[in-house]
Amino acid sequence: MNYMWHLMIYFGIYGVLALSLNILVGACGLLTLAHAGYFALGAYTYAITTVAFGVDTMTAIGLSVGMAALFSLMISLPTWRLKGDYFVIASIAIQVLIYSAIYNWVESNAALGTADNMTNGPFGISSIPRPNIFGFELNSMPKVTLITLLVLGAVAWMNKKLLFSPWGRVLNAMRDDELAARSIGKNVQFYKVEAVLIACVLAGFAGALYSGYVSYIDPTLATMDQSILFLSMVLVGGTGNVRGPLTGALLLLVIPEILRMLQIPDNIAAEARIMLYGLLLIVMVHVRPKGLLGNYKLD
Amino acid sequence: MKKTNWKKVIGWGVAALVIIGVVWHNAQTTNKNDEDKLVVAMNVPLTGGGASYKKGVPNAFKMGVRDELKRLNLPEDSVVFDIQDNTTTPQTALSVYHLQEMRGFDVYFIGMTNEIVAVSPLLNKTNKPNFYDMTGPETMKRGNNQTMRILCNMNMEINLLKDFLKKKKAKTLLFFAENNVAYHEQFNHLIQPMCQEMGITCSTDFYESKERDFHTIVYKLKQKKPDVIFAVGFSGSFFQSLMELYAQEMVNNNVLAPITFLPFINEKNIDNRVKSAFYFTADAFSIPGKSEKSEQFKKNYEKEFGVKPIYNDAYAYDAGVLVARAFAKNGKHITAEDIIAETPYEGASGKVVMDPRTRDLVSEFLLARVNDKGVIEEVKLAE
Amino acid sequence: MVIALLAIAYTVVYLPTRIFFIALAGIYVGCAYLTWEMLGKGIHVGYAIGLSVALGAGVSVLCELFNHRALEKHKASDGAHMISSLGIYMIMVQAIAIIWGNEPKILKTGLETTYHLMGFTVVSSQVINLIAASLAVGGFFLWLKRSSLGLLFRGLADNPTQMALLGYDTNRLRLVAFGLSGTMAGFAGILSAYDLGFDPYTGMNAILLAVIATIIGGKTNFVGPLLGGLILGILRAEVVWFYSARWQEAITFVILVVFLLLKPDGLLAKEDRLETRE
Repeated sequence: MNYMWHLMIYFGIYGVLALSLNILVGACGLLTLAHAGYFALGAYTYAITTVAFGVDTMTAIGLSVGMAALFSLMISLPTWRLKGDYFVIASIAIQVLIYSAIYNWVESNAALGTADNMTNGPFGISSIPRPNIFGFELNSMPKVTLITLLVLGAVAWMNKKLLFSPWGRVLNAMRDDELAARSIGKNVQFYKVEAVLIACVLAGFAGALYSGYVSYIDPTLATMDQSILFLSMVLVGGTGNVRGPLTGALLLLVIPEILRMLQIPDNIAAEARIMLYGLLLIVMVHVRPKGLLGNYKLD
Repeated sequence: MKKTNWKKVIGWGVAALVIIGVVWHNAQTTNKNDEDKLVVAMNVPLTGGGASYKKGVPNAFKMGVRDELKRLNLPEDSVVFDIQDNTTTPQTALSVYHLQEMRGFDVYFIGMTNEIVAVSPLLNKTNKPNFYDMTGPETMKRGNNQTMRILCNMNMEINLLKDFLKKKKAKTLLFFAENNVAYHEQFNHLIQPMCQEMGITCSTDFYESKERDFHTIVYKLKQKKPDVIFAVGFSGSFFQSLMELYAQEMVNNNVLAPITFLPFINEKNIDNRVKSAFYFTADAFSIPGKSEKSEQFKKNYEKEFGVKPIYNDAYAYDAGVLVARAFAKNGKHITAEDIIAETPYEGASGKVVMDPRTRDLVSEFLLARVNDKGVIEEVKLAE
Repeated sequence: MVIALLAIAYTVVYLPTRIFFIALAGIYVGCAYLTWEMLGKGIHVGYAIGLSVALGAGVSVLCELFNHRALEKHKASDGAHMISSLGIYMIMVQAIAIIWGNEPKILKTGLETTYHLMGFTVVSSQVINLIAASLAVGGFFLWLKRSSLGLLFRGLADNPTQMALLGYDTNRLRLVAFGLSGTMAGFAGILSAYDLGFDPYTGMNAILLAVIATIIGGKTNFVGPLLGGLILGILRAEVVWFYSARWQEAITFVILVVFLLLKPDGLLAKEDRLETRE
């Protein structure tokens, strides 16, 4: 049963992530490869504040979200000047910078959280305490699952409201033709900052949840591979609405299980899975640019 | 109002059923069925950075168990294995652990350091005997009183290093290592105190495991002109660093490598002159002809799996034998104490003893070098 | 210099087609693996390199034929091209990992002559790389300036739409572009594999550096990537020398960001008319 809970919790966390990335990729048309960085930022902030400074859960989550929000400027500001491919490259740069910072800010003899050793670098942070929400301690799998799925539900509902509101429509307008949007008087830059802010905040929040559940994190959360994985979720599942990213998250979570069931030899299972993602990406782009259940074509 | 799109509903229904079916099916492949069978779960790197050392470990362990069961006239299937790949990433190791915990196990085996750090808090709660494979000196602290370790080469190598430094009359030591928890521990807890004791100045230079371009790094090191270099790491970047040291003429009978040097010798393209320039530590298994049982093990392993085993496999084999013996005596619910009671034991990796202080399964380590013909031989340094 | 070669390879596809050809990274490592495999079977070095490079070019052309041309017909966006290229890359890398394994491999023998020039120590593999890559780059520029196909190609790179309007077969020229790119990338991959060893994932890093080199140097012509590659190589070595290897990546990307914000067209860019800019 634990395994079932585990999968559902992961679905919750990745679902939130996919939805957050969808705001950028689907609604705004901004292809970004830096999302893993924000996920990691949230996770690390939560971990450092609770482990090194003994902060309680709600404050830690607040801080993670705050950090993600602050750093979201690193993505929003470039969008003002860079388009298309350039923006992707800039997002890669930001992702690598965040990863480098997390990976290198370490000094083996110093304690965690000090100026010398903020992140423990490649050693990772372990024994992150379980979240404790106003006295309700999440110390068993079903409880964590419950909370995670509740969070997912709330985020999905919020997303639906946002994406199909006038605000969401401005984002779509920006995506389709920025010049036209500007010409009718929409402050495009401001909208971009807002959208990026919300997306990064959600990613940071997912990171904090992840940290609290898994209780061990390391810099692999912030690698390019993770970013590509998140992007695949959104692209394959579908962009622009709420069903799409959730389907993508579900699919990319279930595929390894299916592969396991097909008894693909363990030594190629990991590679086979990624090959499958690559193939799905290509097929999606050719056959169904909207993704499985999306409502926005990637062009 | 929208009409109910029946196709969609059915489609979703089918998808949901399929998903639930798959997950349920996977969850069912449990070994809980047979009450008296011993379940050994292994959480090892079959792919990723640690793979070149660990791929053979599950096979060797299984072989050890099977051979011992055969010798004791017990049915071969009385021990069941659950072997999963953790791709040398802690996150995967954690997922694998959850899966294995759900299926149930009696003995746990996990490799490498970072993965152990991720899993140990949960593993310790189960109080089942667990094996750590090849980690740093301090990592043992993360385990509990049921934790044992195989192949802690660092504890065994430190004495050889000490001897090496003395005989080379070194005043400065450079620890040239890959950036890894285990190596940081090795330096802080083993090497630095030893150097302080001996009055030797030691310095470090850590490189990333993904690093390939060592031209500038080694050139920088050259300026320091250390007396002795202890170069450690494993696989790709480690081998590149060794080749660069050689290319820039820094290897003058003063470079020592740990046992992880051995796969370097098997690299096809590299010239023998490069390989024979380095000293390294080796166990009785790795030195041809040193241990009768090792040679036997090598032959059998190669016959069965088609590739030559490495030292790591020998240790896994021995651990397997010990576990099988403990199981034969005590049944399914064995503890670490039962396993330890089976030592000392003359095994594939030499004479295997459990060090009571550190709970390491250790065997003898020696200084070695590759000779002109490409064969490993033991070396004794003159005073 | 090898970075410069790969940067040029990437630009060869990017200029005419605006495609972010990520699959090139797969060809980069793929050729290294093919060479390794062939050397293992005892095939002579020259043939091994020639054959792998030819195969690399072939794969590249196939990418265009089956993937990008189809997307082009549907007037897909650059994003779509990039994502499909990313998908191809993922498949190639994983296939390589399945066939040959994840572990790093080494091509050279480790025996190198060291040269002491002006107080610096340089090893033979670096020298070989420098010379070989320079020859490749030189050859490319010679072809570009002298041959008639090169002239057509320069036209395509400058303005593909106009080329089509003038009646040239742009599809065939695109194939040339992809083929050439695959050849150069494969060769760069082999050189790099010889000097530094390789594993299935070295391609991504290499192509990122190539892209950064192009951005620094200028993306509107072919000399830009060359310049960018040289500058980047020197800068990275300086960082390792003065600080530590750990900061190489970070500094590289900081430079990238600086360039993107201040001079997104690179050092050697021509000032284009607004309409021809993206």
